Amino acid sequence: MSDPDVERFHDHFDLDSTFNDRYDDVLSELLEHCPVARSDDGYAVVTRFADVRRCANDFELFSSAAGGVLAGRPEGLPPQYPVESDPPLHTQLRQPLNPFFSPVEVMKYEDGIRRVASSLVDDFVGDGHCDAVSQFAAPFPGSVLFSEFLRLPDELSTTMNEGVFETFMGPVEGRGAGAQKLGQGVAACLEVASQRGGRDLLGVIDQLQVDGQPAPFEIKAGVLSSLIIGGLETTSNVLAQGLWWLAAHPAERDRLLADPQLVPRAVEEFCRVFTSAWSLGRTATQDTTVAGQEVKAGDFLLLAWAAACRDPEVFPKPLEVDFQREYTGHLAFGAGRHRCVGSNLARLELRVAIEVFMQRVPGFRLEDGAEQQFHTTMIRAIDRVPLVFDSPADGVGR
Amino acid sequence: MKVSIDAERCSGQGRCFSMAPEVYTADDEGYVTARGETFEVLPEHERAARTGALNCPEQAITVVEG
Repeated sequence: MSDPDVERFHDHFDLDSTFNDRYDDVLSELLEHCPVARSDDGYAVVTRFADVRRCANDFELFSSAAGGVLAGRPEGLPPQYPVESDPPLHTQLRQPLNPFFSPVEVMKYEDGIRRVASSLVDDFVGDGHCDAVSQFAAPFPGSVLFSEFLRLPDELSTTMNEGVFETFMGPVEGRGAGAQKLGQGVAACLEVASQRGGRDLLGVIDQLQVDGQPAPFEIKAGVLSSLIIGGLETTSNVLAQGLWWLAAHPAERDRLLADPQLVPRAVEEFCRVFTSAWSLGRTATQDTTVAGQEVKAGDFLLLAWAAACRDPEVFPKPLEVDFQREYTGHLAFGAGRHRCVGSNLARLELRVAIEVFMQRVPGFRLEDGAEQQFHTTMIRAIDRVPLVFDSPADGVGR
Repeated sequence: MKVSIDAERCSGQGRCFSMAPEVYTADDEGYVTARGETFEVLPEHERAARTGALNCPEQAITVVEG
C-alpha cells in the first residue's frame, strides 16, 4: 500500500522524527523498492545485504578516512581511530587490538562480566520494578569495559561511566560538559597506561606505533574513544530491546531458561533484529555503481547494516526473532576490515547479561501500558524498558 | 570438499572457529590456524565448513565442492 510519509525517504532520506517513528516501515520500504535512497544533503543510503556487504569489503573503493563514517557528525568530535582510517594506517592501529577481542580471549572475562551483571541486579531486585535501561542495560557494558577489561582505578572508572552517560544518554544540555569529561577521562586513562606500562589492552593502545614511530596522542585518544563509543551504547541497546522482547514473549523466555544452549541463538537474533549501530558511512573514491545506481567519486554512502539485517532475500520473515534460524552471518557488526572489533565481547556480554537477568529476575513483565519510545541518530536506542516482577525473598536467587 | 582461507582477507574475527570448531581452529593470536591454506574437509563436516564460510565477515573462506 502506498504511504507518502514513508515513500518520501526514497529521494528525501532524513534522520528526522518520521525516520525515528516509522523506522521499521522505512527500512522495509527501502529494501523492497529503493536499494539506494538519497538524502537532501546529498548522501546515499545503501540497504540490501549484498550491496552493503560488497561496499564494506571494498575498502579501496569505499573509504572510511576521506569523509569519516558519521552523517551529521557531532560538532567538535575528534576523528575516531581506527574507525575513520583506511589501510595501511588502519592495519597498524587495528591489528594490535585484535588479539584482545578474539572469541577465546574474551572468555577469560566471563566471571567478571557475570559479577558486574549480578551486582547491578542486586540494586533493584528487591523493588519489584525497574527500568531495565537506566538500571541495567545502560551501565552494564561500561562497567565491564572500564573495570574488567581496561582495569581502570575505581575512581577513573566512575568518571568514565559518568562521562559516557552524560555525553550519550543524559539530558541534551549536559552533553557538551559530558563530552569534555569524557575527553579528560580518556587522557587520564592514557596517563594511567603509561605509568602502569605492560602490554594489556590499555598498554597496547598507549604504545601504538604508526610507521615505526610512537603514535601521536590524537590517534591513541581516538582509538580509546572508539572502543567506548563503539562498545557501550550499542551493546546497551541490543540488551535493552532484547529484554523488552523477552518480557513481551514469556513462553520464549521460558524456553531460553529451560535450554541455555538457545541463549547464543537469541543473542544473534537480537543483534540482527535490534541492530544498534544502524548505519555507518563510507566515501566513494572513484565513480562506480551500487545496485545499478550511479555513485560519483566523493559521494558519501551510509551502509545501512540494520536494513541489510532485515533483507528478506537473506532472512525470511526478517522481523521475527527466531531461535531456530540458520546461522548464515548477519551484518549487525558490519563487515570487512572495519567490522566491530568487539563483537565477541559484545556477544559474551549479551549472553551473560540475559542469563543473569532471567535467573535473578524471574517472571519479569512489562509495566501496564508500557510503550516503546526510541531516539535514532547513528544509533537506534530505546529510551526505557519499564518492568515489574515479584521480588524474591531475601537471599533467593543470590 | 576443500576449504581455502585467504590470508590477505582474514582479519581474525574468529567467526569460523566459533561457529564450526570441528573444521576451524584458533591460533594463539586469535586467527584461524589454517590462514592462507587450502585443506580437505571430512564429509561429515561439510555442513559446518559451509556455515563457517558463510559467517566470515571478510568473505575470506572459499568452499570448493567435490
